[in-house]
Amino acid sequence: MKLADHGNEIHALVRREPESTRKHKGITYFRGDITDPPSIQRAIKNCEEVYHVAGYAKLWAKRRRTFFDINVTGTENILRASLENNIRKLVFTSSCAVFGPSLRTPITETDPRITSFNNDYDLSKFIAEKAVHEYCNKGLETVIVNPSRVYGPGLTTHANMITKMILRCMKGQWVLMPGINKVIGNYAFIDDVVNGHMLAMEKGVCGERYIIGGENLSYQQLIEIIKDEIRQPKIIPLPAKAVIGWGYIELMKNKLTGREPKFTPKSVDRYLRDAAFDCSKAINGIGYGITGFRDGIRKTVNYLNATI
Amino acid sequence: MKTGYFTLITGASEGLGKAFAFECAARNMDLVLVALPGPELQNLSNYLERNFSIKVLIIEQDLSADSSAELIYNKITEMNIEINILINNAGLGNTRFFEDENRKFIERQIRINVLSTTSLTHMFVPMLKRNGPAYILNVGSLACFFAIPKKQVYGGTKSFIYFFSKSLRAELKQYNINVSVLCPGGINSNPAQIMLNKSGTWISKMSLMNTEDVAPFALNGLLRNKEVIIPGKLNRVFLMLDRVIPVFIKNEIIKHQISQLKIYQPVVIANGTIKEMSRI
Repeated sequence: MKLADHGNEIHALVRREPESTRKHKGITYFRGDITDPPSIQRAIKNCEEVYHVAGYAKLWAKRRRTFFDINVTGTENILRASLENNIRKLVFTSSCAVFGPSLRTPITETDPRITSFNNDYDLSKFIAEKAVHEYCNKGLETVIVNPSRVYGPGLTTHANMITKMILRCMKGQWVLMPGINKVIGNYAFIDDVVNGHMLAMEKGVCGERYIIGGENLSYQQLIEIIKDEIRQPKIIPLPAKAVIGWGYIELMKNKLTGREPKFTPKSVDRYLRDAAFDCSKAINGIGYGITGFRDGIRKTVNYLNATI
Repeated sequence: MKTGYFTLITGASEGLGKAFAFECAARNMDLVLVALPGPELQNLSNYLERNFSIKVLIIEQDLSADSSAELIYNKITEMNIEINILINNAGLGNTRFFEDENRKFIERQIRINVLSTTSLTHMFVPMLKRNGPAYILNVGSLACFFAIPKKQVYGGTKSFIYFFSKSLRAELKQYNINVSVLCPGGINSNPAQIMLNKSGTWISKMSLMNTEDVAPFALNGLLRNKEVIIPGKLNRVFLMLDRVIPVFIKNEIIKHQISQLKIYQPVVIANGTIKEMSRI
């Protein structure tokens, strides 16, 4: 929508068209799916630039191959169509998940992953990045962005966990969260992430990747800021073992009832270890800017106040 | 463990070698990392020096190249450093029927798995002798105990490593050099291998281990002078079962495996990523 506001003509490949009230005048909607190449062909026609943002970002899938069908094969479909249609430049939305946990210093783009790939999401995004590099060598101009944990106005799904949490706090509901006070995460405000994508399109160097995140904060700092901004949130910190145990219960519930688990012991692992990131490359290279967490939370609270 | 000596790790840029590098760094050992030319090695070295207070030197060398052992040894003497732990980790696996495998690949595999480990060890024994207590860790495989179709050459090279290590251990004991051989089962070493591992049977998936769990176990075994190091309880059970199960049952199991393997052929895409979706 921001791109459309800037006067760009947008072709949006969507699985379901949004309600007419939420449609933007500058956007043409194409119904389709990245796993369906003909639908990509219809949408990509006459485009100059491609933002490949779609992905399967849940913590669990009924069939594990869903991660690979959407995140890897889907990306390959987009890349192939982009090369065939002489797309000028493509920005691929990867994830900071490909880097895994951090040690003493925040992770930069060239740092090696210190643990094995222990879940299908991380692995599928990593393989997708390889495919993007491959097409870069084939002559398609590609740039990769790696957002960290995104929050801010918008959907309240798993992919926007902090916002979901704040909404619950504002409604006076209880919130359970990992209570390992010292564990550090990186929190990126949605507007920064959107800008980061546009900057990557404008100034990103072909074949490079850019971490687009926000502030590195421990859970304790995070909770303190939220407590400052919302009146009496009811947050219950859970110890790591309880979180993992809950993951096993979710898995068992799934085996017994078939209901989708909220998370699994493996997929929640990343929230129990440090994941600090260094955005210097994006800041110096493409002019990326970071909104402070307190600021971002204030904006999110205002947005949520207006919607509830 | 700061000794003034360095630990040399081959195949250090990925998989188990990278995990060894992290584990040794966490134990405060100065490192010489050897791997194929590419940015990964330099990136790893920068990262280790930033996160640990150790020295890291790198040597970019393809171990299948002629006289690679001499080249590595010469670089180490040029840098004027002394090695007291040698970890021969670099290795190449295979996953095809013998007939289907490219001969150049097989030769490269034997050169890396057998020749380079042997030559490198031969070059470094005099240095290790003067730096005792010294250690040599050779990476074998659980595959050296079993007949495994599609891993004929791999298993063969690892059997060499197994017996080579045991005999060498007997020879070098008097010089205060401990030789250990690590025999891991399936490891989630690199993305291609992980994809392949996911397509295995449930029992092989259960025995899978992560590199970050294997490396500390192996180093503990090495520093405690263990002869054969087998990580994973389930792997140790497999080995015990192998010794008690009658031959005709084992033959049936292998026959069954071959028929299964013929049904599920992995598809290798251009960049070396292995896609095998039939079972995940």
